[in-house]
Amino acid sequence: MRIGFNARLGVAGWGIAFAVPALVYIMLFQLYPILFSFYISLHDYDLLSDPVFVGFKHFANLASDRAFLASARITIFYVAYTIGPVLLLSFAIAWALTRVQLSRPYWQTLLFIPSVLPIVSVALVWKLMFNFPGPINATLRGLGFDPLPWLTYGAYAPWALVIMSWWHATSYYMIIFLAGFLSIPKDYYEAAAIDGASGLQVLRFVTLPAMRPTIALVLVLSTVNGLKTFAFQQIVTDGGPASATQIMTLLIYKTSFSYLDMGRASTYSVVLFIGIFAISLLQIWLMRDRHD
Amino acid sequence: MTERLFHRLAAWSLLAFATFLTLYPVAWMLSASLKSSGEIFTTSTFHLGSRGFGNYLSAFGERPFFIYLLNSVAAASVSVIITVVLGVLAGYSFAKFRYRLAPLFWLVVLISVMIPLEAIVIPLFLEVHAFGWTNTYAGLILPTAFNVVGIFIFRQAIISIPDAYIEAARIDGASELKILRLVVLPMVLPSAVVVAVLTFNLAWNSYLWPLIVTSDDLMRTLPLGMAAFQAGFDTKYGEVMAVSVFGALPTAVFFLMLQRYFVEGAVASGVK
Repeated sequence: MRIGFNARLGVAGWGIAFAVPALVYIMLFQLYPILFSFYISLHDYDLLSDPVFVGFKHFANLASDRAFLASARITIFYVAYTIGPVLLLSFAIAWALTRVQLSRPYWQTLLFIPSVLPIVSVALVWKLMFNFPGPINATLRGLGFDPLPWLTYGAYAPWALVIMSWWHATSYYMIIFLAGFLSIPKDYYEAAAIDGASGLQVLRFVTLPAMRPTIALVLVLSTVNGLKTFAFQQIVTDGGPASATQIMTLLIYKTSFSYLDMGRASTYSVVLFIGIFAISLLQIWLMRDRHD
Repeated sequence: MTERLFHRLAAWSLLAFATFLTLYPVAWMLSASLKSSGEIFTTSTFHLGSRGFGNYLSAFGERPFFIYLLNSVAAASVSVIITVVLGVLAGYSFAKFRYRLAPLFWLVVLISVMIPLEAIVIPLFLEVHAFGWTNTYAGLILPTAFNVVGIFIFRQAIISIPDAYIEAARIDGASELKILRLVVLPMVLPSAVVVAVLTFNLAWNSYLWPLIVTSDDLMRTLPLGMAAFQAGFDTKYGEVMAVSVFGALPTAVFFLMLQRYFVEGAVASGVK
């Protein structure tokens, strides 16, 4: 009975059958929504009355939409000031991990902790750490600086979120860099040692070239992850004070689920999607050698 | 020789400093969870406070944290099951079967990785609303349950199984499902653990989608319950920290037991 069924479907048929459940899932909960998102962005829709087709009105309005422009600027600020330090810190820590042998697992366990903690726990702790009478201001005072109103003043709140992202994201990219360092063939270093290369020369001519794909990967990943950040801003400042930390995901959330302006929010979503999609394409292009 | 010593010294100092900065907020959270609101900003991190576990008890008294915990466990478990099952099947298909639609299917998978949840929450919400799923477990769990990275990890693992094993089983007359069960599955078990740990952690952290789809307090997952508690009692600092610690405990225990898989999952989800 089973053999008969087997023969009727054929080996290729089974291959298709195995892929179909995952594909149905993807189409239902990812592809259809993204197409639907484009559709809503061409309409005025408030959930209560029927959508009204308005063409590219929402897209044309973007250039003069102050909430959107401010949010775009804040999003770029957040991503730009997060990725540089995170890249340097995680690279340096991963390098340091390759220099220690026996104790590496212990350091690695401790340094990976921020990636393991729930995002909400991280947000709640840092919100209190940045409190006006709080440990960060106590440290500043101890070092002879004035305490800052981190979360209540528009000039500092974006920096508070950037700083907590350094703490949170470094542990993750450290692991990616460590994997990259450990995959550099030992012969490279032996050859450099035989040639009498100095430490800096080894870094410049052996390590950095070999790590270039990993560095590119981390740049792409941290940009995409930065663009997708939501929980930190929503919990720590809720976009405030006076939308100083209202990154794009939060603007989409508020425009749609608080103001019920689905058309405009979908237009923002489409812009965010195009940004992330373009950067992800870059990743595929950078990783093209690794796929088989 | 001196250069090597210098390197090692630099490495140790850097690691020690980084570890201190990494652990400080964690230590601060633990200690604050045992303090009264008055003590938190006036006593040092190493002062253990006067509340004992009082903050934990009163926080649990104010909101149903064990319900949130159960909801989170349910959501993460279903997510793991769906991802492992669909991931193994699709991974096997892409690794070992040649058919005309395969490149198109693979393209769909690649595109799906580039569609962030953050950009599709509105249509997803409308879709779930149309299904009548708002404020239900189906609506909470199913739309974001499948982690596509699972396909990549399983495909990579199954590629390395020699074709001869599968062909031999086929010639012996084994059905395709039997081959999957007896030849493929046993060889991808370590990958299954990686996928499970990775997916569990993702689902456990899921915040945006549950926030949108649930409004009933008893439907909330732990991250939502924690954030809502903070929003409602934001000056009860000690209790907020107790809640943070409570939310972090399951993953901390999980991490200590399955550390290797956490790390492998982190790398695999980045590299894909």
